[in-house]
Amino acid sequence: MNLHNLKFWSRKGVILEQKKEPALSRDLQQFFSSQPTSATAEALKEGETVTLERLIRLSEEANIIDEQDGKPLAKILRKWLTKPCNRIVADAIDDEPYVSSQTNPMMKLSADAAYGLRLLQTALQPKSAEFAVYKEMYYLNCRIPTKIEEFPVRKMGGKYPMEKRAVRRLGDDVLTVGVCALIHLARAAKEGTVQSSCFVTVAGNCIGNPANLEVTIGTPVSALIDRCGLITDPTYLAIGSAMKGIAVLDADNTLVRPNTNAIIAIKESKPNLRRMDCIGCGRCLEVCPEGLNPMELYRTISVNRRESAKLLGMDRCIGCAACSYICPSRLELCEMIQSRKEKWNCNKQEVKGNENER
Amino acid sequence: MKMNAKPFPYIRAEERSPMLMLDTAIALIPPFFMACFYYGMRSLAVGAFTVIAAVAANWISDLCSGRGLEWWDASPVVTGMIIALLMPASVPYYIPIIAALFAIFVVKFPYGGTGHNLFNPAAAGLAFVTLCFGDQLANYPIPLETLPMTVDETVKLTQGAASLLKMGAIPTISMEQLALGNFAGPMGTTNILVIAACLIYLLIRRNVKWYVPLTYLATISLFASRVHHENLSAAESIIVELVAGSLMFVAVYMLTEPVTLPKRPMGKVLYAMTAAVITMLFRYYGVVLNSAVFALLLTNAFTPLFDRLVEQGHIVERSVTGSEDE
Repeated sequence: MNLHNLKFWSRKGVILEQKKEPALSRDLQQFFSSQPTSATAEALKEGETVTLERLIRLSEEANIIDEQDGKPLAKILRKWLTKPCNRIVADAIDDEPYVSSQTNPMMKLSADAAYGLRLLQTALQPKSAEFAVYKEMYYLNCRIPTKIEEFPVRKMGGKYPMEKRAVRRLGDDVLTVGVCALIHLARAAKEGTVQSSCFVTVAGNCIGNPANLEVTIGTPVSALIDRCGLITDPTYLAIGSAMKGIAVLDADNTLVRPNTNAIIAIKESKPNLRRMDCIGCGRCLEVCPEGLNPMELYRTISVNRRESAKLLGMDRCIGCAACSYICPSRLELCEMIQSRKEKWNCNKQEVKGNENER
Repeated sequence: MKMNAKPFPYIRAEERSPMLMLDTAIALIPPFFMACFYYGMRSLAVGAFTVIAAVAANWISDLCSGRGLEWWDASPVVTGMIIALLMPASVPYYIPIIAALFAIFVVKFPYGGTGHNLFNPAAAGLAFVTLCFGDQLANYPIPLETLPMTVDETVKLTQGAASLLKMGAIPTISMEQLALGNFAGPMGTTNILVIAACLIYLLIRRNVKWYVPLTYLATISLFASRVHHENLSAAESIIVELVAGSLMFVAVYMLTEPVTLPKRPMGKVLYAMTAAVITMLFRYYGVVLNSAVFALLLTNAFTPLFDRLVEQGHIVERSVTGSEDE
């Protein structure tokens, strides 16, 4: 056991009820709304030697987007042209409630996922390659495999937020790639298909048939909701996830993007409860994975003290919303910090830009 | 389909602030039952009047401040209950009511209401009446002698264990009596076992951090074992100091009050230690009764300092190591 494994454990964070069933164990369903594009990538030929340059060209041609952060796969791979790779981790860590849009394709399309990982393994020659899934998933109807073909599946435990920290703390010599990107890479290598779809979990306590769908990019959210059925009218509809997603105001005109991982419809039992003042319980401090002081930041930001907020580490906030989740007074801590962070950073860039113009 | 706008996250923890305060109020009920057992229905009447006064004062302040009636706010109930439990059962009704009114109108409301007070309202109210009506609070009725609803000259009063200690005498109370709380004192603070049980409840409900009361009591014990009466052994001295007076009660219910407590663990430890040191200084050299309450009030003034210090430490740590989550 090396040090990297220890680093996955973090004491701070929140324990979330995962509620992944029944979407996780159900079959991956296809939901294509249009014909695939005519553009094709150049598939790998029989017996062709796989090099990193070739894979970069392939993923560029096939327009593969890594679903972890929405960056093109080619851009991520290009960094590894110069430095050696120690380990490849295929990231299927779904640490947010309801979402299983990485774990489910990993299990259902395991041949493609393993093929994609094998391609990267031959190109980069790392010491090891493995799949990673979230450990704290209970009450599942299916069993998470311990091995997919020759690659081990490592279960990574820890409180939410896990994925972001795990990826960052793995170290500089470890390449993490999303499982869905690997599947698309395998398809491009085998058949030369361009990525025109992505994997989306449609779930929430209002959805009749929660499921993982393979969806054409650009499908409106309302079509997905209709496909899975609503039991009751949701209070909130979120694209992304229940913790970090963006509220959908107009479901007909909001489209699925390559890095969309879930659509969550939530019915809140008491949506209009009044917010209270902070009573100083300190729960937000206990859960902040970055060790920040969200309540003090909130206070500082609400009185517009920019320098103090910077000093308190506003820029280190990763926007995991653990503080907002736990806050018994239901303050919008994370939203406040994130929005102000963006605003102030934008202003700063503008000021810099103006200075350059002069 | 048109939806509601709301910032993330869309799911929230069940726990809400009113519940936190209600938990403390629930944990304050058992001491009232013990008080009722030892002193009769009068103790409940004192409690009821104080709580009503505190809640009424809070509602009036709410309406005056224009924030609307916050009926779910249980913090004035907690304030009222704490004030009542720290009074002798024979106290005239008007004294705890004055304390409650002072607590809400002077110490809590002008600072901005629940969540914004710099000083513990209950402690401030108590300090106020201790200074104004000290004589009437210095003597306590004898337990298990049921008090009439209106106290007159016929009721026998004695001195409490804490004031005996202060005068240099040793309270003659057996261990059994100490454990059962069967000795003269403020009506809610003598029942050590009941308070300990309530502490366990608060710990389970995650309302109280275990190290806050522990640090406080440990520091007190350290002092008590070093400086004590010649006729007492160190262990006896610790027990007498911890049990006499309102130390345990203050440690469980007042020291851990979230609003006036520093936010970082290190700050909390510093706060508890400071409170303990000031308490012992008051016990040795002070002139007032209820030294723990006065010490707490003084320590509240240190909270911003500890918060600032510990936060500064974290800022430095962040800038040095780059990360503190490992």
